[in-house]
Amino acid sequence: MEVIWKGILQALELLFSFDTEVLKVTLLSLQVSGLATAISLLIGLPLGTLLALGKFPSRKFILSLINTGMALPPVVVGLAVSIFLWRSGPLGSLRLIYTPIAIVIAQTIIAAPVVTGLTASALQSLDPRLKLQLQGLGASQAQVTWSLWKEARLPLLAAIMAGFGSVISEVGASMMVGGNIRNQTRVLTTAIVLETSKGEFALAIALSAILLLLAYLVNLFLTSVQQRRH
Amino acid sequence: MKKTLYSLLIVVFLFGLVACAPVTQAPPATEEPAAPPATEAPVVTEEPVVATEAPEKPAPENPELILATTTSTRDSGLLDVLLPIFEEQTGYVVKMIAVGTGEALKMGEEGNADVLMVHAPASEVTFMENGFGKQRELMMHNDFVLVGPAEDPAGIKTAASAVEAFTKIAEAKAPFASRADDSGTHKMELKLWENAAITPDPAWYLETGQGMADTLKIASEKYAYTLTDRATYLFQMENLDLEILYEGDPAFLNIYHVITVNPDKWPLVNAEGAQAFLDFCISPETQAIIKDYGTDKFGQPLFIADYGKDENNLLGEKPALKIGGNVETEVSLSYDDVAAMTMTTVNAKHPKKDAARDYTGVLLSELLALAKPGADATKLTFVASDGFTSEVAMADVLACADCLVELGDEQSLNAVMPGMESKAWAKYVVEIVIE
Repeated sequence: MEVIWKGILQALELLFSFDTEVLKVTLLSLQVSGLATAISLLIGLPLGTLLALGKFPSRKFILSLINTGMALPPVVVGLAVSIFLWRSGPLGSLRLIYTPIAIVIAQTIIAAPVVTGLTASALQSLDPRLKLQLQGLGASQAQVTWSLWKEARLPLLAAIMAGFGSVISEVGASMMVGGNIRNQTRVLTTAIVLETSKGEFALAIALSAILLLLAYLVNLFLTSVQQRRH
Repeated sequence: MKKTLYSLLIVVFLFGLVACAPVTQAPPATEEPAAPPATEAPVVTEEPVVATEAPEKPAPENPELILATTTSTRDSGLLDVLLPIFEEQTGYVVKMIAVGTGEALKMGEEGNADVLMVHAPASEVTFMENGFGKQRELMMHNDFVLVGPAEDPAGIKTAASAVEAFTKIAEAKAPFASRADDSGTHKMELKLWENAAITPDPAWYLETGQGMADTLKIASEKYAYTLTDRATYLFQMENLDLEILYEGDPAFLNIYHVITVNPDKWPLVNAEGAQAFLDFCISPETQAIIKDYGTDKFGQPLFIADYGKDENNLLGEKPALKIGGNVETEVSLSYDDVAAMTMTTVNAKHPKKDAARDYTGVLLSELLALAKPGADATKLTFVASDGFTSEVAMADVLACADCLVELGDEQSLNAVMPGMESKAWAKYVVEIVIE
């Protein structure tokens, strides 16, 4: 039990002393997962909308694939991305393995299905008459889409939160494609694994506390946006 | 309604902002003095300010160097000391990937690493024979130890050899935690089971599949024995309820080599960088750092620097032969030192043997000449490794022109004393005392 107190105290100490190494690791986590979430949003929002509103034959099949993708194990993604990015792999000449970009790629693959799937279900849960009414009023396709997004803003923000949550907390892919290299690709989760394996439990707990705090702050911001009265 | 829309936009924008950051953000300036050229991947690009602060050094053409190493070198903290110095000196940025030796060698085979630091000599030799490596150099060693609960349920403390200790564990069916990750430590463990002709039974054999520190922790929690390198154990000691129960078997040597990956197989391999790292590892300055590393914290060094030594005689560091007592200068010689002296062959007959045979070794008179016995010395005593002593009158020794110290099997040193009684023919001599 003592180790937990020591960990919490150390977390406070690290936070308020602005330990540069911890700060760097925290910032990199935020940047990498933030970028991955943003790219997932750029992919997931249009794709989810298309799957929810479009009418084409393979729609259900693709949707089932996307829904499966929401449960993609990070280590499987990590392995697949590694195989492609290793020097012996097809994209080896890009020299991306063990860089933050490699982590962003892996995390985007993890987060994009989450955002896509939740976007699709958010739009499908809207009253179908709304779309008909908008079209009846003479709105263009873009205007219809825009209005539907506005209407579904609550579940859409939840989709962003879920996407961010799935990548800020994953460790398997970051470890494999990033290599947990100090000062270069070490993020909070991989640092926690390392410190635990080294027996530095207090430091591991401190980093965990920082990770939770970070996740809380990001979600607090998104929630306040989501719940704002208008 | 509008507000929410803007909020959504802001969120997207915010992520975008954060997103751009890793590209423009400077990586740790102090750790990487020489700025890599801008043509490299944008992530490792630094602010130009850093470049002006850095000492004027020709920046390497390809500054990215991937080092695949074992978890033990990382967990012991040695590389945290060495890598910043190397980066400072050369301008390379080292990406250290800590994996088991098996995976490290695999990474070398596939060209996914530039340079390896590994500790499974048998696999390394195969790796070199198959042409995957370019240069392989002995860097350092430490040793393996068998640790377990203080109660020592299998009674391995009294074992005479590592194989006997393993046999006792198997006989007692005491839990044993195995790395089972194809690491150097795991390979060593498998070899010992094989030598003991034992197939571990899953009932007491726990395969963790994890690194050394994790496996130690599991062993500690499960009251299990495990084989570990000394450095990691010393580092983790305070988190563990484990004690060193068996150590010192010559088979327990844990020898580290540096290998540069052969660039002929994979053109993307950074051959210059790998060469620079290898040269760095075996330089006298680095070897001096390795020699002292850990002494301040643990009272003993974690590694012994070995470059330039004979891999097969690392234990020879404790002197094989000492000459002391009534002498002008005390002499201690390693087996190699003795082997490097002038060899003489004499044909002599052991008093208890039927026929004479050739003995090859160093003349006793030459060895004594190194120590210069006192003129008033009357007695010479051979001390054997098991404590056996035999005395010879000094006058007889001086009169004996073909008395010699034979270089026998298993690096033994045996006294060959033609014309003297069999007691004088001491075997496994470790010390010569003059009185």
